[in-house]
Amino acid sequence: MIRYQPSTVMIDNRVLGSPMTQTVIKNLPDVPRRIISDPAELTPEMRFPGTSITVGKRTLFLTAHKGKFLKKCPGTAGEVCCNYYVLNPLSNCSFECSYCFLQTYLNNPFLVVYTNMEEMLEEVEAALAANPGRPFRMGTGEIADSLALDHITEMSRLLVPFFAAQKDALLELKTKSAQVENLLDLDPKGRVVISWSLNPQRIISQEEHKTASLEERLSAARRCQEAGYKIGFHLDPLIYSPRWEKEYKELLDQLFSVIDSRQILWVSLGGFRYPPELKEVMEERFPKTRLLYEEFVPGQDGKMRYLRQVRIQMYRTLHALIRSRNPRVFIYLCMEGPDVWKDVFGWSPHCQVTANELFHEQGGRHEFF
Amino acid sequence: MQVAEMPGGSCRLITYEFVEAQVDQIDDSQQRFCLTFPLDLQRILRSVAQVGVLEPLILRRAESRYQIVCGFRRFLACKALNRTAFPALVCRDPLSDRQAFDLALWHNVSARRLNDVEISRILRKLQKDLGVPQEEIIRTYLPILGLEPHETIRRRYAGLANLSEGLHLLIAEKNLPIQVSSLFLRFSAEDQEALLNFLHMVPSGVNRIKEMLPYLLEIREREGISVAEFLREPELARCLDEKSGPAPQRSEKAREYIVRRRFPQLSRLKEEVNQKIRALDLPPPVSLVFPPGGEGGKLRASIEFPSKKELEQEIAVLQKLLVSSELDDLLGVLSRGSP
Repeated sequence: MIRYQPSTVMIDNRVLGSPMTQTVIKNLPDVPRRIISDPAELTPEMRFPGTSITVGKRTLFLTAHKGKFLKKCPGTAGEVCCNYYVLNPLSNCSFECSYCFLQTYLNNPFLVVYTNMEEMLEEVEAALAANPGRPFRMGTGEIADSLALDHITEMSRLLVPFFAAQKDALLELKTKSAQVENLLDLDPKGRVVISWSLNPQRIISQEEHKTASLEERLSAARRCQEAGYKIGFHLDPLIYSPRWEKEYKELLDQLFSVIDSRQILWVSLGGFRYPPELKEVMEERFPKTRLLYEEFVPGQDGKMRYLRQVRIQMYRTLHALIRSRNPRVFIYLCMEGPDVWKDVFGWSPHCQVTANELFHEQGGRHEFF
Repeated sequence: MQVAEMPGGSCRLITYEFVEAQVDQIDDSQQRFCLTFPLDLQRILRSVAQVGVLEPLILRRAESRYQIVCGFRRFLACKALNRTAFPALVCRDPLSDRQAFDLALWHNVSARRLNDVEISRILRKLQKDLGVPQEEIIRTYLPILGLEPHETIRRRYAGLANLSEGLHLLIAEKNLPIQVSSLFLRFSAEDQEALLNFLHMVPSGVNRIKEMLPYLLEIREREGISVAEFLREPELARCLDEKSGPAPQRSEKAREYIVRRRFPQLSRLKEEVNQKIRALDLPPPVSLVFPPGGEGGKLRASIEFPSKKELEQEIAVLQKLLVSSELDDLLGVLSRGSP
């Protein structure tokens, strides 16, 4: 894994005094800083040289979030919704996965840390207080990698104790990194799950640039498991190739040899999909990618997906492989419609089910609320 | 007298002298300031033949002769029509190459919209011939050309200059969007040539070219064969054979062949489902349709009826279909997928 080191730290002068800003400055003592009064003045600078995505990521931008931190996961039209909430204290990712949707999703090129963390946590508290007894699953890994900047922000050291004290919330920190040092001496009290997106090492090497290797990810997961965290895995995006079955079987062999499967809270499966506009960006930024040459068809939400039959075959095979190691591991599909759920599992959840209901319908044994 | 705002920000006063220039006084050995592509003379020839040169050309002095800054088409028309002289404005003071180029550029952009090939050639001339730094090209010249000042955009347009004259003509003639024309850059020189021949044989509009180019690139990557090799395949040649029908029909056949190669599994599935639908021999008002991309695993059924009687008949057809084993078979194929 390549540890992120920005070439510049831009600081919105309104957040100069915030504790998060001070933490970042402490951890990046030698990186040049620039104080700015108006974030809008930055955008024209990113036009030259190189593409703004590549160059933008070299700048770590500290500012305050103005809108809501906590949002319902938008899911995707027509697919099963698992009622997940996204919490966005970060925006953009230091890793360079060729397939990353953020390349066309974000409207500014910087790696952003929103420093008004207190407001974020107040917002979560308010949401929980307004819905007593309602279980919330939320995660910071939607528009960022939850742990890739943790050596700079130490954000996990704020989030874990906060969520450990909540009754009805479960926080998911989703990552492709191996940066778990800040987590290991904290007690999550069952309220924090650390999850890794996994792919065979060949795909990690070819498509998930700068991320931790498979071995590093599994080793980090093992350390977290030993430190008392619940663990999750996302086999997402699943990449089809003529070798997919062998490669994913080997991946699962490796996973189950390192991780105690009884402590796995969930495994998600999701075939590679992409919004059509991402294709051009991928071809431009990652000309060696092989991901775009399979057969794709537009789904109901407009995203390009492998043929339904290919996805079903992959899901069924992986489902059976995981079940053969531990029949009780909870497996779900990400961004798939009820018809695919039925073909894979023989049943499908109704829309807008809570995570707990989903677990119950599956007959799982994990009760995290 | 005229005030010219130069791209670099300097405001320079240019004064001109009106002359009746002789054709043989013109040094036309270099065409650095000629920005028009293609140099289509058809309309200007007619105009000059009828009413002469209406707008004076702009010239700069080059030793004892003149060089054209603006007005190459008018000059070529005069030559073609054996005119010996034409009206011109000659810059009184020496004009550097850069100043002359800027003048030609402003003259063009103020009068018309430049096509993408012209833009690409302008960018190449700025960089290669005039040595303008990339950053200045981006910040100063891209906005003059009506483009966002962005390196990605510069690179994309500048790349087009590397394509062959034949492809330049095709791009300009079809007015292909830059997203499409820049795809040609991803083909090898040999493939570009083969592609150009193919596109001449198969009359294709912008949308067809936009659809085909990515498919051909992807077939190349999937199958590890060159596009030139693929386009020489006998089955594709049969689609293009003039005996196989009129041009639009040949074009459609070629398209279908390319799509089948790009999406073999989907094409097989679609073909199998459609075969089974045809075998059901449903009367025309009743139809079953393969879902787009095979997504959803559902067939769409439709009926049309002008009267209750016909509705009743069509419902009877559907009821018969409902209990048939052929329908089970069809739905099985759709859900299971093609082998």
